[in-house]
Amino acid sequence: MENRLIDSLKNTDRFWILDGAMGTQLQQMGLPCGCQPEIFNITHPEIVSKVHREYIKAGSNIIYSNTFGANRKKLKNTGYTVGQIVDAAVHNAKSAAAESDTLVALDIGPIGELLEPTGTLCFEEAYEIFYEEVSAGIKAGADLIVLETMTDLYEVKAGILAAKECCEAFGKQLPLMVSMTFEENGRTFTGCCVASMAAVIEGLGADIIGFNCSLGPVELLPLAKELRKYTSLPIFIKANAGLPDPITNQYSITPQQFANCIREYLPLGINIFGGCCGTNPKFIQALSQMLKNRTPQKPLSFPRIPCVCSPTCFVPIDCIRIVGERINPTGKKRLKQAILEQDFDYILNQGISQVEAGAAILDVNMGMPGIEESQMLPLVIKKLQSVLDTPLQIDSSNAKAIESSLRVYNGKPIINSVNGEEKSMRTILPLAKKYGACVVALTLDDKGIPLTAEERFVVAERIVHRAAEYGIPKEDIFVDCLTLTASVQQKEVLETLKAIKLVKERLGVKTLLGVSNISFGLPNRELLNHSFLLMALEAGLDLPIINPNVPSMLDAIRAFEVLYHRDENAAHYIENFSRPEEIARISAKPNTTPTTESMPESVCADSLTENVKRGLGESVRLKVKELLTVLEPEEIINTKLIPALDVVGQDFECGKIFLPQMIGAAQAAQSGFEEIKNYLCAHPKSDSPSQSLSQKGIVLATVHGDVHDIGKNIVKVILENYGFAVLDLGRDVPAEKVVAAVEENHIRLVGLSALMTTTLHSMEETISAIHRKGLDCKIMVGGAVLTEEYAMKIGADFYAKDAKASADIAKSVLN
Amino acid sequence: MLYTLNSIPNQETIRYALGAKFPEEIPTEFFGMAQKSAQKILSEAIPSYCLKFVSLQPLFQDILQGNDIQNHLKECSDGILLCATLGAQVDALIRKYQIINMEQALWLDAAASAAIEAVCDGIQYQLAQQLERTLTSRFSCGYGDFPLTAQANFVAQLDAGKKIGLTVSSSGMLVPVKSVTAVIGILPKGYSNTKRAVLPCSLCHLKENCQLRRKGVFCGKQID
Repeated sequence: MENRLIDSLKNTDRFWILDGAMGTQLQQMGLPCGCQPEIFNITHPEIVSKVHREYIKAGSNIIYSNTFGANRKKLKNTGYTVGQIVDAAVHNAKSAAAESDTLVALDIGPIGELLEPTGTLCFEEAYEIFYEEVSAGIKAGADLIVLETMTDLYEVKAGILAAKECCEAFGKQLPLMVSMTFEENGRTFTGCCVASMAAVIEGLGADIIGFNCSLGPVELLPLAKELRKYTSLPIFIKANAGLPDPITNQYSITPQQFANCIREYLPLGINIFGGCCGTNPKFIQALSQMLKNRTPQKPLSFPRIPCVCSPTCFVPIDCIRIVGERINPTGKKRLKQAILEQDFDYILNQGISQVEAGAAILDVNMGMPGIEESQMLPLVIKKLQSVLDTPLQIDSSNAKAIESSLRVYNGKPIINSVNGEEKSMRTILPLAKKYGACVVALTLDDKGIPLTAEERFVVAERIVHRAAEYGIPKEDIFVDCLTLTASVQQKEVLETLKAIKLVKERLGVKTLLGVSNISFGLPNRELLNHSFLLMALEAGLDLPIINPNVPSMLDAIRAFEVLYHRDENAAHYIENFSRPEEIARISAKPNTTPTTESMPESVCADSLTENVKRGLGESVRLKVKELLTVLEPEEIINTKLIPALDVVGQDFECGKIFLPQMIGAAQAAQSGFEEIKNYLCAHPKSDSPSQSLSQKGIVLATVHGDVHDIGKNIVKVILENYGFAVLDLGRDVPAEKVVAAVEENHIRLVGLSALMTTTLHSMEETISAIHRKGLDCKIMVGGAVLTEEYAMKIGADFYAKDAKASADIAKSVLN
Repeated sequence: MLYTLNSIPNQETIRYALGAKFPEEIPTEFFGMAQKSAQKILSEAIPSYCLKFVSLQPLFQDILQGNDIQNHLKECSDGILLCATLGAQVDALIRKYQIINMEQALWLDAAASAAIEAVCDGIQYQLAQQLERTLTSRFSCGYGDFPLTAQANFVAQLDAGKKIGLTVSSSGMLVPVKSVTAVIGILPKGYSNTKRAVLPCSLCHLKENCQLRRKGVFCGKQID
């Protein structure tokens, strides 16, 4: 490894000075506006080297190669490969640095396209783009690697993994510097916060962390102070020359002012500085002058904060944090069905409702027969992260599933779990280290669950020590002292609580515990659950794994926080119980639901139609629940729900109601269907009315290249409510994926949407791909810029002008 | 740079939510839905923009392609290139509501569309005040024969990726979705508001099956 830099930083023996802006310097020396600066590496190497030499002369000890945008996306139309540009650029920098001990950093900027879920670039492709750049840089002889001007932490993760894995493949250990670009509100454009940035970048094993661009040294100072609290890594700052004038684009501060501002960073123990936009060799010279007679300070040190995070949601484990347990198919028939059918909306709703109820972290488990966990778990994690920023706990006993999930997880997750067995520690702990994840340590080993608290402590201690050998700090370990079932091992219940106390006191780690297991096999489980929860909290439990949708569990936590003086002045407690829904809950009389006897069936049905029309989902659900006691599910669907939707559809067609109201009605009906699905899961029948894909299935997709999918999603809601099974392929879907889905599921109707004129050709391509395969299915198309005429021209069978029309088409094709 | 957006016009949100079918009488609950969505969007949005003053003539070759835009800007020698976005969090919010509640998602989507237009209106108003000149209406990629393929080049001109986090996907789509790129012409002195060019339906891709047009209604906002 190029240890000169890393060792020096460890010893705090000197300052390191980076360079300043490259692009604007090149423009001053003749780079035409709009021309990519990287091309100059080949066409005008002498000019690029000249800029490097000026920075070295001004005092730079580390210069960045002129490769900010040297990725295959940005170089696409230049006629040069990444290898050619990077090789020339590193060569230019090296030749400028030849007569000094200046280090050359391979500079890597953002790819330029946003990653999923906001954009369309997938994580794996981002990884490959970075890998190609790093590989070229190592071959060209760069001394270190810099990822800079990053605003998306997910892109950073792809970059760090690519850099580290590429170095490993080359048998090199180049230092890795990573800097992100923040706005004055303390967030990046994608919403990433400083604490999450630190947790993820340090966790993934970068050597130096910092900020560059966007702000001047004055505006960056508070962010640097914040970053100092969250990381033990050396920090570097490459600020702009103040803020640009919005009209003239001129930057606001002079080299001397810049250097003076940087002085403020020295007491924090920050010892690496350079300049970004608006700076030039004069700024670097002023900087080196200012630093010349000063001594670098040791970095201020702060205690490490146990935490998990996504880019936008940082969760320090500094109080009781609920881990939601509901996304786990064990013992949940409805969820099992949803997983088998790939009904992601149901799974995501399980996540969202737990977060709304108070979960700070969600446990995610996809272990069930017939499911390839190593594919399903990362897929569900990606989907959950597209709608929620709550940190996740990756729960699996399959190491492959854990690693593939860790790879795509955006943030710092928890692995559930490792145990005291040698094999488990050898497999899981290196994964936790590599991906910077926290890990749940189960106090069991090859001999099973020890009966006494002391023995469980010994296992916990063993795991904590082993983890330390891998370089995993104890703050990243959450010990699970294991709940035993009171009905079977009543004597051992207290041992769990004693063990929690022991590991907290002697190891200083945080603890986690699945609570609900305590009551298995006993009546009134809820009572035992929340009583045991209180006892565990009293013993020092930090992370209870519970169902947050059970109010008594949250009540127990709220009460505990008041009684233990954690909730100052009971402020949260009072705030919560002043909410109208909570007042209603505590004052509600038990079981006021009317029975079916007191309400004739005809009244039920009529009010059902009315409630569907008015979009009252909960009333519809209750009515359907009542009806299920007297009618067959199929009858309710065919004689109640579908006719209600037909009335709504007619009202929409004749303009009596509008799109939002039609969707509202469809959603209300959906609640009714959900109740029926639950009923069918509990009372399975061979002649179930729930339709398999091949009978009444429809594939929906927004075509390749298009990201506007709300229209397609509206169509999906409406179709599902007419009882059609919908396989939603999402947005930006390549033609071959549509073809494969149709073929695999014997689909008879496909719906394609496109909003933009530019993506209509993708629609045409998809249609001809289906036709080329000779698949026996009809195709309907829709989207703002489509016309009936155009739809026919590109070979569609139907043009759906709106969601209602698509339901009519589906009925005509499939019923 | 950041733009402070204080409110979103409910009328506009409703118009977007209802799409082509615009009611003569708007049900009162729609105002409640629009208001609620506006609050959610305002709390998630981080509206930001960047702009560049340009001399128009040299740009007609590479960036401002097509006859329609040249025609739109024919009285102007100078103009402003504008990029604006509500930020990635708004997209995330709408994505989440499409799972929780599609009806609310539709309202949020509409409020966000109204919001980004309100941001652009605000910026344009400020510019007109500062310059003491009348400006043309905004003309964006995808209008008339100004191709969407020009989008990437347009965004690159303003370095909008670095400045406001606005990017273009490989298929030419703006990401985040709730974003606008537009060119605004600076009219010569002496032009009054009434002479300002309004986009005629003849440029529109939807003119073939536009339900509003059949009723003789213009979908654009009524201008002053």
